[in-house]
Amino acid sequence: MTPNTVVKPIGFAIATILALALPWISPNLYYLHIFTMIAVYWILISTLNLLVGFTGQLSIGHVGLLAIGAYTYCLIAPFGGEWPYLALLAGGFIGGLIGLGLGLPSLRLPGFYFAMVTLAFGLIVSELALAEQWLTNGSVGLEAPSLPAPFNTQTTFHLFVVTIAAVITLMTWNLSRFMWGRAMISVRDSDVAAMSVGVSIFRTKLTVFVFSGVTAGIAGGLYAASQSYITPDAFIPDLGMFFFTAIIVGGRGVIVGPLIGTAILAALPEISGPFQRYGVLFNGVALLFVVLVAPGGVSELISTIHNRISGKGRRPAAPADLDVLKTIITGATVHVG
Amino acid sequence: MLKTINISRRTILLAGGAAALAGRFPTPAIAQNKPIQLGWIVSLTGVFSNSAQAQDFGAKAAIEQINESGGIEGRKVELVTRDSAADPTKAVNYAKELIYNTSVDAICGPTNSGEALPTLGVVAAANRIHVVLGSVDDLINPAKYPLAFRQINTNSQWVKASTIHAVQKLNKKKVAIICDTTGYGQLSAKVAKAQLQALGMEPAYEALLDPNQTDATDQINAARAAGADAISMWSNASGIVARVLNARGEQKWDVPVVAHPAALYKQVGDLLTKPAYWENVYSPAYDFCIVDQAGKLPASTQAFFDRYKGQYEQFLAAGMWCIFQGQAGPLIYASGVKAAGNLDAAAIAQKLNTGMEVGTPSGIFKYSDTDHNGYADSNLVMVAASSLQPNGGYRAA
Amino acid sequence: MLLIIVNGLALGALYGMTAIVYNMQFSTSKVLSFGAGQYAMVGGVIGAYVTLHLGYPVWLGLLGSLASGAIFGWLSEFIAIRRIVRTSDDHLWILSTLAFATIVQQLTGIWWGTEPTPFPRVFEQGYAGVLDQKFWLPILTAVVMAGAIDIFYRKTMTGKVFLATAEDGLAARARGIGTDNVRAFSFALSGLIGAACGFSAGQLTFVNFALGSTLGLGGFVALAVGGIGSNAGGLIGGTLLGLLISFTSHFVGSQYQNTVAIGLLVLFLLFRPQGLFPKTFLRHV
Repeated sequence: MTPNTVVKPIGFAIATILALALPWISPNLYYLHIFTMIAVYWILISTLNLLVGFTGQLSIGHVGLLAIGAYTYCLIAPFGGEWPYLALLAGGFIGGLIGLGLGLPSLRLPGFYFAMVTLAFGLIVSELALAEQWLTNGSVGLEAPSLPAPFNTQTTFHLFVVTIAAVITLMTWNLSRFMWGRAMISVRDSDVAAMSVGVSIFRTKLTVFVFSGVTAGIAGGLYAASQSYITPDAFIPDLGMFFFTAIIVGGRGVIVGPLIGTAILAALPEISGPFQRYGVLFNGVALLFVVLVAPGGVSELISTIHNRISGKGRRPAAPADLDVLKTIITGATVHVG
Repeated sequence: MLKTINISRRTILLAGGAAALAGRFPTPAIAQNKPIQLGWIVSLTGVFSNSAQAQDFGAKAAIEQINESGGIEGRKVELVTRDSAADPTKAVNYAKELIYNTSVDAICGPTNSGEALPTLGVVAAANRIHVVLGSVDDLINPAKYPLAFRQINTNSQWVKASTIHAVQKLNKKKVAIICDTTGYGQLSAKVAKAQLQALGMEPAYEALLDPNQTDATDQINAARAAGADAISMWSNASGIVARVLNARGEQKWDVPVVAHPAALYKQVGDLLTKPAYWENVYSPAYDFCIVDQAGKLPASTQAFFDRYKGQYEQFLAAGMWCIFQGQAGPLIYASGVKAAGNLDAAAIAQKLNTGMEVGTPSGIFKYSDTDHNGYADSNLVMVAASSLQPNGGYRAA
Repeated sequence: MLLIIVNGLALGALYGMTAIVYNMQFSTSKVLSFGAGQYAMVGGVIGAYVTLHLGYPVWLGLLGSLASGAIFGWLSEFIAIRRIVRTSDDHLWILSTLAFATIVQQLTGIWWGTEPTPFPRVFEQGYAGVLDQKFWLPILTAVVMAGAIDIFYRKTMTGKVFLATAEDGLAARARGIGTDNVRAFSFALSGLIGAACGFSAGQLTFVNFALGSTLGLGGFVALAVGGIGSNAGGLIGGTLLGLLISFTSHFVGSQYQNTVAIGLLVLFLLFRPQGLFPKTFLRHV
């Protein structure tokens, strides 16, 4: 047992408990709302991180999946009676289905093509949300019912969202470890398996993409419930850019980095006052800075600093869990693009 | 103008005297001296920044005047401004921040319907008075949000005034409806059709224009081919308005256009290939910006401009009415509090619902239990875009 | 009807020119930049700034526009590409160019404003319907541009150096070609091309800070349809897209513009990922 396998579950447990205890640490309902939003975004970002960090596919259009989940929730929840949870699940299901439909043609494409297709997908979703008034009520938007008791207060809703976020984080973690094992085996079996490696990589990518579609759909439902109302204006490309920037700035391929990235980038506009108008500009600058100076993101910076302080000198930071896998997989395939 | 707030010099002196007296004795409750805080969500940046900045200027001026005349119930009023950047998510976040963090006493704004819609539920849940600056009809619903009041005319009022102008005043029989594909345009397309039908007509032609569409000649020709003799155009994007007017001018098709007040914006005039293309374009404006024979603005409007000389000019680009619309919100709230005598939201709403006349520089508002729009049709005056005066006023068409 | 076609052709020329920007950058760097549409935006804004705000004549506006495009092209190479292509990570340039494009667009939005603003008439001409300069100017610019680039590649030494670098960067370097400088030069040149596109399009699109992302997507669709590396293919792809959008606006309704453009893209990527004219142009040598 390496120290990593012990430290990580402990860190995860502490983070979860802290997040759950927030309503009592900070009784201010506004801060609580911001933390809830961070948890909602995290539900989407944690699996998007799997996609970006693990398969190297840069999706800028997850905001489209979020929108689909949000609209599904708003449309179905009123019929769910006491069970709007079904509407959340339906959002996840449809998000996954659309993810499958989007991933099948696009995941075979080289990186820039994929990024462009996802960007375009996000644009289409908001265009259709505006145009198909019979379904989405156009620009007037839809009211989002809140969850029934006991999850109808800000505090209990927060607990509900954090619990889902924790469960999905656990799933991401297990999925990455499980896939790592599979990929190791397929690479080890070199010659005979070589043909099948290509297939399994595509399938793995597709699985991850569908999974991220499901969680994006669920996040969409929770987003709607926490905002209480949705309009097409809410799902702008900048939001997709934010998800993506949070991962890169935090450090792709590790779990803790993007969590920090999400928290920083989501909280910053709220505390920056008059500089708030430069929010999108700041995201761009942060992204450029990280790419040029520290491609591993904040998490790499932290571990580098940590190593320097603890006297380990210039030893390179330990490769991230998912990065190892990515190297193994991309090393075994011919890369286009 | 400034009907409710115009207090004579004597009252101000009296108020000053009272304040001086109050200073000499220990004040009974500190809470009473704490300023009343009014949360103000305004999209100072982003797509609606031009009109929102003018509305912001108006709101600040209103607060200044309220405080000069002694505040509300002797308490100063403070505007707590948040820039929502035309993003509904930010608007909701700021509404929560203002309520739960700053704990403001009431909310004004957001300054456009797209952002206002999602904030209604949030403010209602916190039991605060909410004075909304958005024109979309669906926004205000007293049954659902009994504490929300509108501080501007409704979109239907604009469209109605324009349609009546085209059909009854200009005597046109076949009106073409051209809108844009934004949320506002798609909504207005329906409203414009309904208003025509209310006058017993069907639109001669209907089209939606994409904001990225580079040329509207196609739609203009199609409307012409359909035998239209007037255009009813509903878009608040200056680029689209200018394209339609350019296309109409270039096709030498001199039918009248009735349009959203955006057609009056200076920036639309700048985008026109020839100044002549601005002829025969009519939009709803307000009685307080109508000049008399000599080209003079109404006295109250002129008084406001004299007072803010050197400050207000930069906000005229989106039409002077934006400044006056911005003033209405704080004044409506102030009138409600004065009538109720306390800050209790239900009591204020109840007083406002009695149909009391709330005078603001942009007109009188009268609310009832079932109607929280409150703005009278008679405040709207149709003007020709080309009648713009150097002082920012218009001549009635 | 004629007008729908002319409008589509003019739009198509803009997408085609943006595809050429993509191509020129890709040839020397193997990078497809998210910023490809931004040079046109910068060119349009600077053109309008010099003529309408500073009051200089149109030819100075054109000069300023081209210069700003070239400077921004060079800057984007220096900031977002140069350090990245040296690392092995094949995805970092997607991020760096995306970040650069965002920064340029946001800064312009803050400085210039987010409302569309007018662009001056380039030639004295009354409105002439389908023969108006706002239509033929972009079309003519695109055709002349494609021709000039063709001549540049075949007839000039610099052009041949470009081609050599594009064909095999390592071999070119071995023969003593400074591939870094070639790349920087190609980016400056592509910025100039983009600015020319933006200047010619000013009257059609107005000056708009969001033009860059629209053109970036449309130009990419044109590129994917035409095939990477082929300027002629890019122009044809752009024309197809422009006509399709123009016809969609007329017959279906313009609220489905993006959906149609993107549908075309996905169809091509699915059934003909190499595009219509895969790399014919670069095979001249």
